[in-house]
Amino acid sequence: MSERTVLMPELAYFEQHKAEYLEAFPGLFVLIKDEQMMGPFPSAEAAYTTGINTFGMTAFLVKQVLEHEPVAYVPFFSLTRTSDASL
Amino acid sequence: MPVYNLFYRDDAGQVNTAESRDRLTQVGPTIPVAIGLSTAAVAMFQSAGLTVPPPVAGVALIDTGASVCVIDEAALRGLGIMPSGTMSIYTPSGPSIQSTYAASISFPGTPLPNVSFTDFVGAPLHAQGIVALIGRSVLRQFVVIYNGPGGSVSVAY
Repeated sequence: MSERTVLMPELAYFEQHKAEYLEAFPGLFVLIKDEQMMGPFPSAEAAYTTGINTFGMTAFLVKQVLEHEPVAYVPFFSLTRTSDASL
Repeated sequence: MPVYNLFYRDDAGQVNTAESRDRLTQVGPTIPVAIGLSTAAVAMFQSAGLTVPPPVAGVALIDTGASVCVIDEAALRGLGIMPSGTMSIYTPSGPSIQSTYAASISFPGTPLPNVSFTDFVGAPLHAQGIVALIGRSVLRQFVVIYNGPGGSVSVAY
């Protein structure tokens, strides 16, 4: 799977702690910046609001604690090279 | 029920002609949009006494084949919006992990309400002449009628 995001460090931190998050607060949302976790939060909006008020307009990761990652489908991407706005 | 109707026109400005129908076929179902900061970001700017960047206006393509919405990354960059999540995306060319962004989309000149999400996908759409791809995550709130024989698109809320 190709990875096109500047949030790979935060994603790696989430994966490292995913098992304990799943046990502690499955289905809720966490906020991760570098190697700092905040939460859990009841919604993505609540986590994002905390993130924007704490870290400002910087990159941070809001992630729902789920065993299996939901998958999105965008056929249009077959015609469009995808990239990351912050790269 | 508020309804937005877009009638495609031929070069003479006429609707419901063979050329206007061809235009809908070529361009696809589109709708005017303005991309802006999320509600939370606007509140943060205002509480800090900062000027909220103006929305980026353009055209969005309605894509019932996409399960999510995509925003042009140049527009996101212009608004200073940084990634706040990731999403696994399957495309015909394979799976990938993409950054997602919190933003809002309004539909100027239409009666449709604003939508605000924390998980818009960013991608370079500018070359296609659009600033957003409206997928099913937004369309679940709307009724869309694609009138091929009439050369028009209707969106209702």
